[in-house]
Amino acid sequence: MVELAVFFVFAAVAVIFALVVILHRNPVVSALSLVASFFALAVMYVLLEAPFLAALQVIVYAGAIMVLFLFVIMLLNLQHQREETTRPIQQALGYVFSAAFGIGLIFYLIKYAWIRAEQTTPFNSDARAIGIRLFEAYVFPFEMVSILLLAAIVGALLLSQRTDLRGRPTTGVDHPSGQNPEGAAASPRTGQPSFDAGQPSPAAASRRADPHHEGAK
Amino acid sequence: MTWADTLLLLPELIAATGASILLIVPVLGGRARGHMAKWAMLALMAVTALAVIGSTYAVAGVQQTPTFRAMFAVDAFSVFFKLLFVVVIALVTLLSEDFLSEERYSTWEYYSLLAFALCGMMFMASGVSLITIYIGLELLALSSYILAGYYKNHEESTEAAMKYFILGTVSSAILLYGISLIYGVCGSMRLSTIAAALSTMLSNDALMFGIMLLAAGLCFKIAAVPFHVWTPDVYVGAPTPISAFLSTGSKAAAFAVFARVFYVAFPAFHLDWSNVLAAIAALSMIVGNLAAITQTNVKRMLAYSSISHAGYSLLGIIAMNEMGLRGILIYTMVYVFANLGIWATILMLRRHAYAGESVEDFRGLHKRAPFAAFSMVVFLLSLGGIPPTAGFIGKYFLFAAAVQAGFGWLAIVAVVMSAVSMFYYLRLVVAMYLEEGSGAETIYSPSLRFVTALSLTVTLVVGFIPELPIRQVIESSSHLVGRVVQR
Amino acid sequence: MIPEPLMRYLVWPTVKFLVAFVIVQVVVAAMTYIERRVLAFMQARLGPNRVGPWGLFQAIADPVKLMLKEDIVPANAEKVGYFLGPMLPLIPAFVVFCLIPFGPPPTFVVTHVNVGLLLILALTSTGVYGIILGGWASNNKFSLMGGLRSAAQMVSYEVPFGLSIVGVLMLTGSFDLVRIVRYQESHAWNVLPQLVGCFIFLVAMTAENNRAPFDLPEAESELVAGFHTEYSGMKFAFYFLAEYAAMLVNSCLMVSLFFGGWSLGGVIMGRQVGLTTVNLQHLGLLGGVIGATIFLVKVMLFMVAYIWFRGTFPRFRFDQFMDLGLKWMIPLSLVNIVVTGILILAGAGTRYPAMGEVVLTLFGIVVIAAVILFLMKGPKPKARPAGVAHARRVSEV
Repeated sequence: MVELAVFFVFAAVAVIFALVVILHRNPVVSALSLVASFFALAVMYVLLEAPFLAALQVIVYAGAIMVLFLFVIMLLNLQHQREETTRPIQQALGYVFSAAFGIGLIFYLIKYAWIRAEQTTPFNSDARAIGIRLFEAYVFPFEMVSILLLAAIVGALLLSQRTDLRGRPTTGVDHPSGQNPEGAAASPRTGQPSFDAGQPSPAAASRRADPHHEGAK
Repeated sequence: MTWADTLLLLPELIAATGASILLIVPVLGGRARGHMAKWAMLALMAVTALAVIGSTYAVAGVQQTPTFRAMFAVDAFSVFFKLLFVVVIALVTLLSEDFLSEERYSTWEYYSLLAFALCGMMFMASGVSLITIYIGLELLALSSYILAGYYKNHEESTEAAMKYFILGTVSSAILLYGISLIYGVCGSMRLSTIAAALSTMLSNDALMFGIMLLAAGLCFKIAAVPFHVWTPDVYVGAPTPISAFLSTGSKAAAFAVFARVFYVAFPAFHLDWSNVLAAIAALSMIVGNLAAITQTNVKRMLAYSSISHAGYSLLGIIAMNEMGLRGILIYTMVYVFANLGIWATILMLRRHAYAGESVEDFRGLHKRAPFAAFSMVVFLLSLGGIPPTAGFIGKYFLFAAAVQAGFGWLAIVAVVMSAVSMFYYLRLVVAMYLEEGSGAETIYSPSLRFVTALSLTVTLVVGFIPELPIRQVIESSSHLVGRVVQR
Repeated sequence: MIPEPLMRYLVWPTVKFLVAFVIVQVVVAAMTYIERRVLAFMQARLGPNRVGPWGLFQAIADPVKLMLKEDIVPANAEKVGYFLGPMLPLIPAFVVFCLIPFGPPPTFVVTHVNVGLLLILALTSTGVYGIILGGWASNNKFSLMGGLRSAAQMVSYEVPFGLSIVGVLMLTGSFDLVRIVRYQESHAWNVLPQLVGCFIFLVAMTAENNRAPFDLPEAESELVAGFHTEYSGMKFAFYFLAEYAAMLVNSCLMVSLFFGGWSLGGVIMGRQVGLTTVNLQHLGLLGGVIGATIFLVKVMLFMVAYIWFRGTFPRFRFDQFMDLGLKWMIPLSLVNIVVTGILILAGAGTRYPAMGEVVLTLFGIVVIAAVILFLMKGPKPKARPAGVAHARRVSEV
């Protein structure tokens, strides 16, 4: 009884915040709503007697991934993005099809929800059981995922690299001097904008001036 | 898991290790020797091919050797596709040479990503559990997104990568959702277990929904019609060798998965899903071919033609019989080689350092490069399905399978649309042979020549001596067909 | 009369939580005084000494001042975010105290969850949202940079923070802090076999709390006051409170994981020697109070260590700091995990099950010694760019 009440409360929270994620115009609010939704999802895991998964859900998604999302959103300073509707017919069609898809989904799920899934073995979700499953039964997909992640890391580095083999910028307009036109905003070693505004030397500090700081002037 | 299991995994292990080595080389100081990367990559492909051939001995006499708790299997079907993938990647490597030497991007990482993509494709071909198939597909997709955006200076390439990435991720999510529904109903992700569970099951809405979502996700990868919108933009924006890869290797891998999943896992529900897929196939053929007619950009035209070919290949899955499966295998092979040949010719044409894209660039090609023009004609005829070429054999199998399975109307649509497709294929031929004019200049490097020659050979050999490839295809598909007949 | 289940599931936990809450408040208030006095001592100053005897009432005067201050909201701030920012980090900081056993069970354990440690990690990892949100909502470049630095810092050090605990988990085989403490009674304090893990944990927890020498999100010489530049009055006090509560949580974790928790003694040859859990439980409530006192004393030692770090180490530069986390701490903690695993396996089958732990201790000593030697040697002098060399000359004059 209590469980049911908790379930519905947090299910409502999850759904409402999920709606905020897609409906709100401010990306920062969207990202934070997603975090709230993840928390509600973690409560669902607790209700399903999987506290380990709940903790992982919070650590991985709320604690790490969404922090990075927020980091990027704030770094790009995306605020109140508004896009002109260029193709209204396509947009309308998109709405119609998504609505149809959503209705179909809900219809089938409601229809199916009354069939109970058979539980063959008691559900064991503690860390030991999950670890054993992961490294015995599912060791093969697990190792495949490691290859996948390696490829993903390589790709992320390649796409975010600002200079090519000869140190010339690969984004934006080519600059004759071979220097980064943004005033060497990228630190030479990491290729990322540097946040260390407090350089010991004033010369170095001005050389490393960040685009954000320039905006502040 | 034993050492024998690991040996079966050897081709994938070699591809993954090779990809990692290609990554490390520039760190160890090989950065300057960019031209060596091509040879390293070709060597890697050779070793992988040897490993694939070696693994056939493991399956000699046995139908299938499932390992790792039946998540990965080596069988004649997977060996067929893996060999095809290795050849495709090797040819794409050859196609990439000029692109990489001109543009100043790191060569080693490029080839490394191609090797990762190969690894993913091989996992897809060998996966007999939905989870391994899914991860393999993601590995291929991730590598493709990055490769599509490799022209970082070009806005079009970045846009292509972005579009491909966003739509691809959505389709992956749909696919995964379908998998989760199927898993919920059947309690397993193993294809054979799913088939066994389904054979005792009456029609089930959740399951049908899962199958449809799975099909939708796969239809995105093969670019069938309601899920095709990314194709033209990505083929035009991506680096040309990558467009070649996406339209051949990536598609072939998706078809391998499509065929295996539907032939092994879902034959019991054939009546339910075949009509939906038939509609998708018909739409793909109609929309693809009609849209291709109006294109003036050759890459765009090829993209729409590729959409229509996804429609033809789907016939083999809809038919769900021996003929159909053989048709998929042989048509995939034929299509891959013909397409690679055409992309090689496009790469050869240049206008101010950019690859030839418009139909005008092909004007009078037969005078400047008679061999290329001739082989181009053969490839186009093959895509159109004109008799002495390989395309005819493939289309014959597919159309016959559809008729056999009672989808006569679909076969008629396919034949009519093949005729329509000849219109725009022949427009290129007319430009090359009948129109005079100064097209783009041609730079015909030995690599491109080799790719063209090899593709031409395959296309003609399959066209003139079809017995040999057909026998091979029958051998490669017999064990999957066996399951269908048991039904 | 209150029915028994209600007592058990609602009243007692609430009472326990309130007690814990009050203790936290008191400790934080005390810390403001202790920090200033200790820092002053280290810097050969007097520190606060006017309000009350030895300046003790400074601990009360400070919160009163903060409460009475005018609450200023910047004109262009995102109002909701600006208000939520200081509140958000308080929630996990206080909820976590329900999961930490302060003394021997059952008295001083508020809730008993078998994945307690993981939940603590999960909750503490979300404390950063308040900082990011506050920094962003202030509509101030310095605040934003502070928030961004904090995000980067938290995410980078979350990994070694979590990985450094894995060694302890492998030894004790549980996520349950009570069991981890009791394990240490029957073996040795985990700090010995997990010297490397403890070292990494110490560094990572300082970084997680944005404390000196890793207080880059609020580095006053670079970012005015970082993420809380625009905050004043009670909202600032909330950030302050959350930071100290988080420090307290990490110190509690440190003590529970590596320094034997509430116990002071051990099980030697099957006999309970000293103030072990069993002995404390025999003493009833008194034992609980003794255990909690021991725990608090140990915790305060680490709280003082925070101040010690602040008084001793100069602040890192941001890139050096990220290098330290990503290039040194993470690989080191991975090596620690691998070595721990190997030695546990090696010791398991033999007649000397403690051998693995002894070797682990030696390994830890060697690694720490190597790090110290490496640090004493100092960095190799590098060719510097002209501008930096000039700046250095000026400073040396």
